[in-house]
Amino acid sequence: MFDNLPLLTNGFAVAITGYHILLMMVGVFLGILVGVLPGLGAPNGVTLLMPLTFAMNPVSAIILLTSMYWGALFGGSTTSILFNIPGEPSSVATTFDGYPMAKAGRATEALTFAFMSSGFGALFGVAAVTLLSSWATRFALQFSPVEYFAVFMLAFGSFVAFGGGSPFKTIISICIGFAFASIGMDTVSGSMRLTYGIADLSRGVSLLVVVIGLYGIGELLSTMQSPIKAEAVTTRLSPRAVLAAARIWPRYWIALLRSACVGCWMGITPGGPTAATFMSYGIARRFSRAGARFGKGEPEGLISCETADQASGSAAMLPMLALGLPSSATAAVLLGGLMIWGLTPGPSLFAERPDFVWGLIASMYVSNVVAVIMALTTVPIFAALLRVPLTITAPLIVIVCVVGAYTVASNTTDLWSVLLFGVVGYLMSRLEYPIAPLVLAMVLGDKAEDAFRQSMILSKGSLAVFWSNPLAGTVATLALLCFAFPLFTVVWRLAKRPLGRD
Amino acid sequence: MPERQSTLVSRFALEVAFALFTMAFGATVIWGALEFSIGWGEIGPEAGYFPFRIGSLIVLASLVNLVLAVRRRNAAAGAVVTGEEGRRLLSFALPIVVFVGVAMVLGIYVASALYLLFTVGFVARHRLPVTVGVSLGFPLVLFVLFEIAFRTPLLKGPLEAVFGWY
Repeated sequence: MFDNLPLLTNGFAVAITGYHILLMMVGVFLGILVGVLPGLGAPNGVTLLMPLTFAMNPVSAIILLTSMYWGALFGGSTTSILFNIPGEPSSVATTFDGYPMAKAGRATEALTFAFMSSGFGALFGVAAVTLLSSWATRFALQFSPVEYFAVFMLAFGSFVAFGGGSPFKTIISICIGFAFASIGMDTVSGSMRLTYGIADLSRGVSLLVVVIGLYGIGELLSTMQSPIKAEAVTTRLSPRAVLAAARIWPRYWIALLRSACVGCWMGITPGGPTAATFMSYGIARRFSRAGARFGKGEPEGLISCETADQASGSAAMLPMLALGLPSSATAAVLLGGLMIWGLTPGPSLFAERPDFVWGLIASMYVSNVVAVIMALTTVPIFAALLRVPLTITAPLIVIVCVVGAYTVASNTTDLWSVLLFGVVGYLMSRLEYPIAPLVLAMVLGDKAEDAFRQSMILSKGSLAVFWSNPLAGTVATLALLCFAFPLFTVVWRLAKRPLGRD
Repeated sequence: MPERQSTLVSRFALEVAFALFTMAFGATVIWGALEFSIGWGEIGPEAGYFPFRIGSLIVLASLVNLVLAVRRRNAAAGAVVTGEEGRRLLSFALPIVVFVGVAMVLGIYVASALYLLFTVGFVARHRLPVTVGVSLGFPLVLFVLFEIAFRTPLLKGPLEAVFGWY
């Protein structure tokens, strides 16, 4: 388990240069910015920045982009606590106890707890990635296309089973992503699929444009339809109050450890940060002695979701690097970036580009410490920024999204597509169609199809190949159970109905 | 205060409309897949195999969503967009469309300046110094950032050409 330490040391040598520390600070700052602003979130922010990194060396690029991800997770908590506006879906649970604390005059305490817990969760997650990576790559080496396809199906099945909301809407979202992925050149036969004779479709649908439209313009439209009145609480942070809060923070060590474990689990298995925060909050409420005070400004509630949020975010790097399986929308975008830089995630990445993999892992230790410090020191700046009226920030964000869509490929058609996807994203969020599965399916679509076709070639067309060995069989069975989960709930409800009627 | 806000679009109507939209999308995918063999070739599933099944799944799931929307019709009679919200939404969305249209002709920088002038000054009625500062300052910042710092040229129009930037 500790044979990775020399590799990690080398990683530190790669990651810790003045230039990279500067990139981390820039990334974290931009991340907090997109986390704070409405309509810009982690997936969208990383997407907007990505075209500017194409010319960079991949290690520097991934450090910049992942730092932005950590920053966005921190920024989301700032707005949740001070303004009761979750800047990110994964910081919804932070508002439950964070905002009541701030309203009761404990804003400094709440922010300090949130940032330090986030930092702890992140470091716990990175430590898990460090220790588990060689085991994960060994595990991944056993994978043939059969196992890959089964694992991909499990990832999508878990969205259907545990995503909340209507399973059929989740299925629509997944399939639209798959359909987008299959537009353009078919990797096996070389034929142009689903292009309908339209030249612009032959280069495929750009993931980056879709993400900017769905998350950026779509979220903005939702925000503008019914703007939330931000009622800010005082935002002056005195260093003494921060230190005082930091001193009592270790008392919550049980909550910290428990939430970090929940977060890691949800980050490594495809659950994503949002599910992790809600699960961690729910578990904490059930098992904590302070459970009854949850939702009224109980620090333990705040700490539980913040820790899990960041732990799952950093732990998600493990399946992304070792299996090419992203467990959140942002990880999916980062994975898309890896492929654009010419890196193929998987066990071979660990063998061929140890500088990249371990540079990234080492940078995560440093960038999260940078993020805690920067998050605490920049609170006044971002609180002031949030007081700028939405009528000014919203048009500026629109311009940033349009510019971002143009930088993807310098193609004017993309400017119209981004608006189209904006409308679709708005409708999806209004009608509670989940967006993350669509993004994931777009990234994994080609790989899933290839894995399926290769499996079918191996087995000469028999689906039984997915049960030909214990590993694939277990995963495939779990995946099927996940897809069938909605049926179980229907049967369960029907079975209970005669008793429940009174 | 009025008892009920005016309903511009009910949840039910939007659910049905979007389910029909996804169904049409699914049908388009099936149609596109049928250009190829959707069955089994010599070396495994052919090009149309996967898209055909994805398209069919979209159509089927859309049907279920449609049925569910109709069955829950009464619960979804409320507004998903009220009249007031609709006005706000359109006054935000339409300028964006015009902005992109203008950008095609005049380039992104000039179009952004005009768009900000309109939204910040004319729609939101901020004070003149704020309006001018934002609508000239922001495109200028973009210009320095993209053309000079990152060397990533954005879409430009006749104005930039006058100054020798293409």
